[in-house]
Amino acid sequence: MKIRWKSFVIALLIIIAGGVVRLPLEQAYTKEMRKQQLLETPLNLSMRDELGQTFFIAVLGGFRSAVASIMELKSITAWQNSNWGVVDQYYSICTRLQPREEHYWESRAWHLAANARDTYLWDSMLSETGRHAQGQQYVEKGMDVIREGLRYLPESWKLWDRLGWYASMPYNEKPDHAAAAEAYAKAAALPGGRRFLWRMHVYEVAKIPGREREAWDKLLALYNSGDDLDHTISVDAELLLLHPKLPREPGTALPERLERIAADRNLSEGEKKQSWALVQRCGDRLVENADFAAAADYFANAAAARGGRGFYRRLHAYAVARIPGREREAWSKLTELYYSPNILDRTLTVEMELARLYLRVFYGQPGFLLPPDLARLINPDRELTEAGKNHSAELLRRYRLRTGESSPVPRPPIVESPNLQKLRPR
Amino acid sequence: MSAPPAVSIQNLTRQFRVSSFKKETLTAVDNVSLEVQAGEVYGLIGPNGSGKSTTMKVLLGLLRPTKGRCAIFGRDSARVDSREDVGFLPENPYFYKHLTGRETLRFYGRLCGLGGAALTARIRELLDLVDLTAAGDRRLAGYSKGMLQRIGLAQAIIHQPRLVVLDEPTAGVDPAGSRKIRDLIFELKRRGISVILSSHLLEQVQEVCDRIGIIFRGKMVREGSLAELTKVEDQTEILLRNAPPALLEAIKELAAQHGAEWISGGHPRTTLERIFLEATGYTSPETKEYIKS
Amino acid sequence: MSESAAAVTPSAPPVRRHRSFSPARILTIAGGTFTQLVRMKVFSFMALFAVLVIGASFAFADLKTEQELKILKDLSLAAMSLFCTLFAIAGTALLIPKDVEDRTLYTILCKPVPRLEYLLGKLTGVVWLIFISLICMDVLFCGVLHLKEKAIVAQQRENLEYRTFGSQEEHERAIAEVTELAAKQGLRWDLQAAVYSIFLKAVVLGVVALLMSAVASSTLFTIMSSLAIMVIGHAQSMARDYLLGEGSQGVMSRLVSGAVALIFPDFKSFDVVDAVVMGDSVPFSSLAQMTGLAAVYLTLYMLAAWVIFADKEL
Repeated sequence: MKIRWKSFVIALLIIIAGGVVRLPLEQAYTKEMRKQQLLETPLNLSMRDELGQTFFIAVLGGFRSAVASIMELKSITAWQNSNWGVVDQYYSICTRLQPREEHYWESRAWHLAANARDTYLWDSMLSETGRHAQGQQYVEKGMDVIREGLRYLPESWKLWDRLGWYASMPYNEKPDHAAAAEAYAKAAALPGGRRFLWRMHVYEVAKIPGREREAWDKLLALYNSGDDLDHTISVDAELLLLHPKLPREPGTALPERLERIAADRNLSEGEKKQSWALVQRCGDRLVENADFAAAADYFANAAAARGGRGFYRRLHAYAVARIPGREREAWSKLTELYYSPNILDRTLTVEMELARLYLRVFYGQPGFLLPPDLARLINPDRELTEAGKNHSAELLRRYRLRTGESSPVPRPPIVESPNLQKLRPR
Repeated sequence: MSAPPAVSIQNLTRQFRVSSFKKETLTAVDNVSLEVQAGEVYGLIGPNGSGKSTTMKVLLGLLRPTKGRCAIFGRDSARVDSREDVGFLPENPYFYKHLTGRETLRFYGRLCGLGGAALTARIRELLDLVDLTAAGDRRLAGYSKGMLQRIGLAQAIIHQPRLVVLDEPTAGVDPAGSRKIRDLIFELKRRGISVILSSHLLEQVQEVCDRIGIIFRGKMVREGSLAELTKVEDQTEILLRNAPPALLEAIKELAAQHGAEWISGGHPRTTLERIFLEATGYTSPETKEYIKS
Repeated sequence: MSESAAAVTPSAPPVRRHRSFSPARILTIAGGTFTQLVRMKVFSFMALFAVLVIGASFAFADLKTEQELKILKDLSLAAMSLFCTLFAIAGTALLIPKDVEDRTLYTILCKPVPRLEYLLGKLTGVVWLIFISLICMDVLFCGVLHLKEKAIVAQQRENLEYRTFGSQEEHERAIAEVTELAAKQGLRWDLQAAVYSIFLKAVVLGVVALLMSAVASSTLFTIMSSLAIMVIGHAQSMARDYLLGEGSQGVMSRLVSGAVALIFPDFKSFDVVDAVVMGDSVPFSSLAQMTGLAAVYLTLYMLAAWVIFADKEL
């Protein structure tokens, strides 16, 4: 069976002539479809270096989305093995294949700024300085990823939100509240942006030295909005905390209701309930900001003013335990809680803080002995019941989280625990 | 105007390029002319590779002639509608194995523009004709060679063509199957359908064909009716019964006296085979021996 | 036999008028092709697809809502696309050279069947197969996606029950948000636009494979060259951009990009799957344009295939 060259040439001429006719049609169609973002713009040439040959063909073959999905699935194993370099590699393919898919940017940044940071922060093979340096490096990598994503998706409130969070989160050792405030403001202004984003913006502004008045005005606007979704308990707490920092000038007076709550007078039943929650929220805020002394005062006030609820006493003791120089006071308060007749007072945190103070501050000093039950829980050679084992495991987990040490061993002379908050500027 | 012949091939030449890149050509059919009248059974014989199949393919429009022309009932073979009047059974036909016999006939019937109850009736009739009624609902994958050949014949005549072209219809079929096919060809002839068949089974050709063409190396070397072909002008055959050797000797002498040459004696053989062998220049040692004696 | 044969009255040759173009003949060839492919058990691929889709819906149960749904959609649509590509190329490439090899083609073309009809019939058969299998896959995919979406929404609602909200309104809003998110990523009509684009692409691929099998006589060559055209066709838009773009370019590269742009189809024109998976809508006018483009390719390559096949010696 043979074809003659003549027919072959005619066929080719038909195709080429057709090509000349269809070329402008195709071009116009593609332009229109690209404008609607239904067709992807061509890949960068550098892609070819990073993708295997097979994948490259598949990508050209219209399997972009599927390849990205498969890459994401492949990253799961690396994630489980805490192999963050590999996770990032897979996700970088995802983000390059589908730069308009915000989820890939979000996940990639999360793996870097949260998961990888965490892994390095608790890596017992590294020195303390190394841990923090590595952890912080990954936080910044994560933020870079979000910024890169924002180049493709400047309208994504989710990415702006993430940028705000990573810039100011407690785990970021070099928080930039101004940048965070700006990011949240952008997120809030975008279509689809949720209302909490504006509140996040305001809270961040409240943390920036020198912009207290601006924060106050914005908080007050939220307070007066009359909408429960805007006027949250955190707004109340921020107002209460900000008020003492402001100069006495027009417009800086506490709203009447907050005034009464702060002074604890003429409160209705509902307001009383609110006040407890509010005091706790203020204390929490202060803990978040690593102002443990002020937080301890808040919780002490709350414990005294509201009839000495055990809850506030415990929060007070926890805060005290974090204040350098007040370890003895913390020890006595925690011991009291430990032996309290109220079983609820002996929390895991109480046990953990006691163990920490004993091992890292008072070890070998006369008069300081760990309660025998607690000593057994943290002793590696102990024999424990099934329930005791679970208890011990949880206790050790919290100990590691608090101190960054893999196992509780005595470490005198005193070295303060690797406490992230300590590094934050006051 | 008189009715056009069933087949008319005039000065057909067909060349093939040996390869796509070389100029060298091979002449498969060289200036062949033949005519088949309506109702005639024509046998095209020749050794393998002599150009029979090529001639048939050109006749059916599957190949283009290099020179000359072919027509079926006056319509040029290059025209699609010339195939209205012709049915073709290719050598070793493979139909779709996944179809049953009945489905195969339905498929080809539809291609010929048949349909509905008429087609169903026609299929029943043909399955009966080729003795495949029982196997009609089995897939062709399970058919024997002979059965395939018969279903092939049935599909060739499904649209009641006036001409049937059979390329080696009995190749590879056992003697019983071969006889069935021969009977079918007789049946076609009885119905007045023209048949052109190629074969190298001379016995069969001799049995069914009215006219015969011998094709060798692309050339038509002999053509004529069976009687014409087998008649050798300068020879006379005497058939004797119970002749004693002495009588044969006497006849030999007598012939010599009259200047005639004694060529052969013995029991009669298929004359067509002899013609065929002579025409194609092939003589087996056995034949040479025979001729010498 | 001969007795029964004798019973058949010799009938006079019927007078038929030959029709130079007959859809009935095309459908007959298409039907034969379809039956052939079906009896080659191509539908067993469906089982593979079912396993894949159902597997994809269960396997990754602990990801985010949009991730889970995206992966399900991605893998299902990619599998559909893959199977259709396979059917289009292999279906076409296996059938025509096989017909030639087995001489089945002789028995067809010696009937009053124009060669164009044979080509159209083969293509129609393959397209029909793609269509049917795509519908099967689509129904399965949509069913699984629907169930998955429902399961996710139910799960999320349950999760929300354990969360405290400031008000009933807030709770309802959270539920609405979850439902909306799942609906945006879940079963939507726009997915059918993606399936349709897969179909059109497969049809164009089928006609390309048809052209190649008209040029070549071997299955392997047809498959390889069709695959090559598919890959190049996905880069055609790049070549076109390059050709029509500004800036100084070498003569050679202009020539190459021009050849690619003029000869090959733009397979990327049909790649709206990614956008649809992401949640974009394809307007009807775009679908119409896409259809028009496919029709242009179909006509063009069919014409070329016909020119070659009509002249081909069998």
